[in-house]
Parts: sequence; C-alpha cells; structure tokens
Amino acid sequence: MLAPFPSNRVSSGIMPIPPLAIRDLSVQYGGRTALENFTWTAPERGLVAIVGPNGAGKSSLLKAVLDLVPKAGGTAEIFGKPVSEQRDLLAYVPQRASVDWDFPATAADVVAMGLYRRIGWLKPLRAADHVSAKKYLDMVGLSEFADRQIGALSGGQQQRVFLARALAQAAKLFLLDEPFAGVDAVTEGVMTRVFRDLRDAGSLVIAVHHDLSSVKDIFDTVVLLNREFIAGGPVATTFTPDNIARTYGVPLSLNSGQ
Amino acid sequence: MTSFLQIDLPAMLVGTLAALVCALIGNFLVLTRQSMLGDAMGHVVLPGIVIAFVLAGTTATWVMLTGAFAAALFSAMLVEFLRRMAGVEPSAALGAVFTAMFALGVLLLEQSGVARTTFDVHHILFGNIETAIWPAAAGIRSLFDLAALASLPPQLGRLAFGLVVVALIIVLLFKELRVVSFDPDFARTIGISPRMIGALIVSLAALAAVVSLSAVGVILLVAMMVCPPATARMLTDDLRTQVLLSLLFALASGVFGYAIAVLLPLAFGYEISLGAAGTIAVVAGLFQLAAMLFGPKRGIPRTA
Repeated sequence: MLAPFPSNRVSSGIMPIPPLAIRDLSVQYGGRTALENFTWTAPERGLVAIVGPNGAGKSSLLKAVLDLVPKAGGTAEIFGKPVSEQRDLLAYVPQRASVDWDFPATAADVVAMGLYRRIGWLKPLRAADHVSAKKYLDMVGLSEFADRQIGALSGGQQQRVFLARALAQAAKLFLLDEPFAGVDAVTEGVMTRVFRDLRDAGSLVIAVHHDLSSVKDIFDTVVLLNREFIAGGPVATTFTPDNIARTYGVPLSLNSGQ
Repeated sequence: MTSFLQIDLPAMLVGTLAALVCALIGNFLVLTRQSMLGDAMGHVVLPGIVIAFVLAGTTATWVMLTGAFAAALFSAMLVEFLRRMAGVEPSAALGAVFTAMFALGVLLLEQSGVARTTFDVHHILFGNIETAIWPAAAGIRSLFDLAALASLPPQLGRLAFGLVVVALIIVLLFKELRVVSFDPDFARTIGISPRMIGALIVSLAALAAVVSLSAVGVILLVAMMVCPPATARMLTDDLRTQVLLSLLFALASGVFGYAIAVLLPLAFGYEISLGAAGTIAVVAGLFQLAAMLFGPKRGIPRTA
C-alpha cells in the first residue's frame, strides 16, 4: 500500500494554492492569434522572467491574466480564484511607454494611486496617504523627487515610480511588463534589490523580460514562450541553449544580448 | 442700474456659467485627448433636443436633457459600433457620427417647422446670450426680491443645475478620474473601470453641452471646453490647481468677454453690440495665447 502521509498533506491544505495558474489560455486580436493554449502554474514564490521574441505574446499573456484583453479561451486563476476577486493581492506595472508622462502629476501623486483601492471609492486622499507615498518612493531611492512632475524624471526614475506604486499596493503577486527596458544601471540595481526583498518576504514577482544576458543574474525561474508555451522552470535547468533556440527559432548565443 | 440688471447681468451670468461648466469637464476631455468629443457632443445633442421638443411639445429642462442624453448615448454607441465592428479609425468614426447627427438635427429642425418658432439655427450655431434678460428687475432691491428672482431667465437655472452636477461628480470622483485619465490599464487592475469612468466623462460633456448650447452655440462650445483647461495646463503641473485655474480663466473669459462685447462698439461709436459668445471665446483664446507665450511651465520659451 502507498503511504497515506503525502496525500494527507494535500487534502489537509498544506499544499499551497499557486499564486497564478494558467490553463489553455488563448488570446486573439482580430483574426490574429497572439497566444495559443498556454498552460503554466507559477511557483509559490520567487522571481520569474517571461522570455520570448518580439510578438511572442508576452504582454498579451499578462494582459489576458489581468482581464485587460479578452481571453479567446482558457482560464487564469490568482490564488485559486478569478482575477476580479483577487485584486487586493496583485499589483500590475504596465510598460512605461503605455502612459502619457506629460500628465499633470508628481511622482508622489502617481505612487499614491497604489493606495486608491485601500482608500476606496469617492474618498479623497488624506495627509497620511501622502506620507505613505513618500515612504514607498524612499524604498526605490526617489524620496527627494516626490514633488517632481513625472515628465521631468528620467526613464529609469519613471520606472522606479511605477515600482513604488506597485509596492504601495502591498500585493502578494507582482506582474511587470518590461520593467528593465531602457533603464539606467542605478535603476536596474534598485529594482533587482526590491525584487529580492519581495521574494524574501514571500511574494511572487513575474516580469516580462527582453534581455537574455541578464536572466541568470536577476531571476530564479524562467518561462519561455513564442505564441505557445515552450518551457518553464528553474533558470539553471530550463534556460538552456536548446530551449532558447526552440523559442527563438534560431540558435542564439547567450552573450550576444538582445 | 436697472438696465444693467435687466440686460447685462443675466446675459453676463449666462455666458460665465456656460464657460465654467464647459471648462470644468473640459479638463478631463483635454487630459484624455478627447477634446473633439466636446465638439461632437454639441453637434449630436441637436437632433435629440429637436425630437424631444416635437414629441413633448415643451422646452422644459428635463425634456431637453432627456433628448440630449438619448442622442449622446446613441451617438457614443454608434461610434463604438463603427470602431469595433467596422474597424473605422476612432476619430474618423467620431467625425462621421457627429456631422451626420448634426445634419439630421438641422433637417428635423427645418422639416418640423420649429426652426421658425422655437429654435433659431443661427442661435444654435453661434449662441445667443443676449436674449437672456430679466425684465422684472427694478433696481438693486430686485436682487433680494424672491418674486423678481423667480423671473430670471430659465437658462440660468439650467446652467446652475449643470454646473452643480458636474462639479459634485468631479469632486467626489476626483481620484478615480485622475487614475483613469493617466493609466487606464492600471485603473482596471485596481477595480476602477475605465469604460465606466469614460462613459461618465462623455455624459458630463453631454450635460455641459446641452445646458450651455443656447448660450454659446455649437461652434464655440469646443472653445469653451478646451481653451481654459489648456491655458491652465500651461501654468501648473498639479491636476487640482489646473482644474481651479481653468475655472478662473473661464470666469474671466465670461466677464471680460461680455464687457468687451458691450463696451467695445460703444467706444467706436457704434449703436449695436457684438455677439458676446464670440467675444468670450476670443478672450479665452487670448488667455491661451498669453499662457503659451509667457507661461512658466509649458510655454514656447521653455521648449524652444
């Protein structure tokens, strides 16, 4: 007979619910398929890079998980429930280029948006919220830029403002779209440190990533996709030249960067 | 004094209130890059107003508002339909719908005969502030006489109602409007629907359009919605300050614009006065030009 112990562990709920479980997810724009039958279950915690060539459906994957684009098929569950019931547990950082940085707002104004859900509808921001926003700006090394108009910040600083906004959400699951795109070395260092702190605190960070050469340095888990799931797992065993070649369609040297 | 109260005060109030309500919602049209939506709303409400009048036989405020909203809603749905189902580019869809709706409105106006009795196409196009008069006014005491106040032009009540509704909603939903205008995808992930807030902005623009249409007219509506917020935007990087400054510029445009319409021809010895809607829009435009030339934040000197 099989030992009863492991199955007991499962049924008694010790087996954790994954932060993100995606089954057979498909996304279509018009008639074009951006993602097809994507299935993947995220680890409980860690730093995950989503890697694939341009047009592989990386952003579409995040947006479909978040209900920002309609799913053509399949499901995505956040801690075992649909995203609409788990908004308190997740934080999303869109691509930096997706918003108008000329908008009349300061860095602190944008970070405070991460508090809006907890403040609730119809209620105004209070002095304590501004103090709180500055605390999160401090965590990304931007405390002296709190009152700076966001358009007057560098690209890397803008990306850090977005990261601080996500931190303000106090989430368990962080979904970031190209957070390292076009940022300076200081920002890259700050983001890597913040990601590790989040992981150590038990959160899961999932980031669309374009720079193959830095995957090993920053992330512990990788998902390779090209319109469909190619491979996923620990970087050490999954991020192999063979899998990368299967993802990009051609053998690609790791050192060539992107 | 009496002639000022009878003729100038009500007209100046109508022009100023129209400028205020348009500027207030205009802030969010400009921020979401939908300035032309204000223009579109002015055009599409015309057939709604005419149909509502023909059906109900009255120009009561709620009848006009219902007709205007129905037309605005129908147009918004038509634009969405053209965009999603037929793949028409958004601004082309907007352009096609609002000109077609306006043409339908003019056609209905002519065919139903109300063009000669109730509505004047010229007034709908260019506005007509001057018919807002207060014949019951007889000296300064009328300002405190309820019976006299009750005979103030009905446009004033409509404009005050519109201004209160738009202001109340913007104050209550200020942070929701801010996050949706800045980052709609993020707003959606925190449970604030950009589609719902967007529909609210369209509705408030329609409300502002319908209450101020008789004062400023279809053509100048977009100037009232865009100029004060755009001027304020050049002077500040804070959204709340921008909204408040836009109200200040709207107020100044209303007061100075009307004063110029009355006083400028007198200064040159003409008996007639200028159309105040036009001079209000011109003053609003001059404020914007001045802000572009001399503004500290956004002006030509900084970017040149």
